[in-house]
Order: sequence, then structure tokens, then C-alpha cells
Amino acid sequence: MFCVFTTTIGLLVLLSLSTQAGAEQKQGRRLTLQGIAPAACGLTLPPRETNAENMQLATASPGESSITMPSLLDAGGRVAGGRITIEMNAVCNTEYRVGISSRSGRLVLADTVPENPAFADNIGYRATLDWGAGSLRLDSATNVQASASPLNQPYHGVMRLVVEVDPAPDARPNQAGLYTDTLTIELGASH
Amino acid sequence: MTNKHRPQRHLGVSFTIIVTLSTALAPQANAASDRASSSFTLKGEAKPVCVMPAPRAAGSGVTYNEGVIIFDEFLQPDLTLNAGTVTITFPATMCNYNTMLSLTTASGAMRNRDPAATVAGDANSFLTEVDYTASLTWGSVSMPVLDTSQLGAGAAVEKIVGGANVGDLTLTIKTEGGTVPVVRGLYDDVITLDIGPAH
Repeated sequence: MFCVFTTTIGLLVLLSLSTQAGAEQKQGRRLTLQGIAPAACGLTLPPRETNAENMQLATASPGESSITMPSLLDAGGRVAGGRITIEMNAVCNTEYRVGISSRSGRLVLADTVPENPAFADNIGYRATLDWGAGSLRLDSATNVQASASPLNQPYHGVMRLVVEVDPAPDARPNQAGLYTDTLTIELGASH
Repeated sequence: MTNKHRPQRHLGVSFTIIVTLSTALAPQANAASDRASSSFTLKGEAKPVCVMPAPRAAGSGVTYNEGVIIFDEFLQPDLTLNAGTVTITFPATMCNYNTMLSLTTASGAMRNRDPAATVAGDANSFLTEVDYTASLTWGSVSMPVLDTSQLGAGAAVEKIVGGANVGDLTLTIKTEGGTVPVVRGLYDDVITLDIGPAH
């Protein structure tokens, strides 16, 4: 009777040990956390007007705005002049390049009108772009595009754009019509 | 009828009785008595073991594959850090003895290993490392939160469980949304989860 019972216990112990095969006294796991920040640039706040004289800013989207001169000409039909300062919060989390360019180089008449040497049909202007690492200047009289050398550090801060139209009281009067240009600021990863 | 013609089952029963009597009578050979006893000690050692099954992961914007947790939506459109949560569950984890739980961070944060990932000017204008919290529960047992904003590389949080335990072992890792942009690159850290003897 005892012999039979002892044998049974022995089998139970062996069975118990066999189920522990593969289990260990200590268990551990290594978990690797990863996150990828892709190279990117962007405007974190839409452009905003901080100072203006005879110019107004309207922003349709962070990437598209318009600057309007309410009084383009003075009472004599000559360019009245104006100035606006616009600030944008920009960020690039990698090496970046910044540039500014003008489509037409100056404000030009949107509609085709007969040429008349007694009247001007375009208006020059200047644009200056300042940010933490430098400054770019565009002038209808000299250059219609400018770009900075690639900068090898990320940038995060305010970009300041100043657009100026000088008054020209002694110049020819301007033809009537809508004068336009497109000024583009490009901020992008340099690789 | 001769013996060889008797049924076999009777022969077997007789043999068993003989062995039993022999065992019972043997201790009485030199100490005759009207009583006899014999005791038996039964032993079996239960080794300390832990079983941690394969994990399952849950979380939005997160991919888990063979021990690697990837935050797929790491940044927001303005390049600041996106808040994220991932839960890794080791179902029905079991240890049959009083263990110590520990969580260790190798780097003290998810770090950008690229030596070119530097910031000019104000160092606080960008993130070059991403802090996170890791909390661990095991059934009804919870351990202190590992918060890398308060800890350095190689730091660990530990807890003595208090006894054998079985239950889901759930690790929750969280990153908070940021307010400054993150420098481009791969950010990583290694978390080690151990259950073992208290030291």
C-alpha cells in the first residue's frame, strides 16, 4: 500500500518539473522605443501685420496672403508710397535654405493698355526679409530674387518681411488699372 | 487439478500479499511488539519560476514589432511633438515567488544619435531628446512611474511585489505633446523590463 502511494507522489513531482521546462526564475524583455522626426519646414503661425502705412495685409491661408495699397496714387496720379511690416513664425528642424523672389520684378498692370510714354505702367518696390540667421533684400531696381546660402542649423523663430513702395511725386503719372506682382518666400530643407 | 491449471489471477494476488507482509514484519525482527510503525517523508521542491508570454500591443499611431515600438505619428504639423500612448501587455504573466519588478531606461530619454542634430542659439528653441513616462501594472500590483524627465541614463524604478503573483503585466508608455519643434532625426531608447529575484 505504501509502495504504491510513494510511487504516485514521485510521478507527480516529475510531472511538475516537466511543465516548468522553458520557464525561468528570471524573465525580462528589452523594448526599443523609436520615433522619427522627418526633415521639414513650415509656418507655425500665419503672417500678421505689425506695422503699416498705406498698405494692408489680408491672409487667406498660412501660405497665401495679399498686400493691398488703398491709395496707390496721390492726387496727381503719381505713386503715393507705402510700407508694411509682416511677421511670420517659421520653423525648420534641419539644415535649410531660404529665398525670396518676385514674379515680375515690380508691380505691373494686370490689364493690357495702349502704351503711352507720358504714363508709367509699372511700380518698383523693395522687400527685405530678416530672420535670426540673416537678411535678404530684393529691389525692383537691381534684383528680383535672392537666396541665402544653406544654413546648417535648424531654425525656429520670427521671420520679418518689410515691403516698401517709395513715393514718386516727381515721376510720371501712372496709367489707371490694377497693378500686381507675386512675392514668394521659400523656406525648405537644403538636402 | 494441478497448480499449473489454476487461474493466473489467484497466483498474482498471493505474490502481492507476500511482499507486503515481508515489509511490515521486517522491523519487528529484533523488537517484538504488538504494535509497529513506519513513517515516510515526502518531498518535492517547487523551483522559483516566472512565465512571461509573448506581448500584444495597443495604441493609435504606434507600430509594435518584435520588441520595437515605433511612434508613427511622432510630430504634429508644426513640427512639435505629438502626444502618444502605447500599451504593451504580457497576458497572464506568472511568478510563483516573491519577485522584484524593475524598469530601466538605457538613455534616460528618446535621444537623437545624429551628432549633427544641434541647435544654434537658444538650446530650448528645439527638442533634441524626447522624454516619456513608463508605468507598469501586474494584476493588482503597480510600481512607481518611470519618468525620464526626472531620471538619467541607466536609471531604474523597482518594486518588490510581495509574493507570488499572476496577472496581466501591462506597460504603458506615454509621450506628452510639445510646444517647441523637434530637430529632425531618429529618436530612440531601450526600456528593459525585468522580473526576478530581489537583490
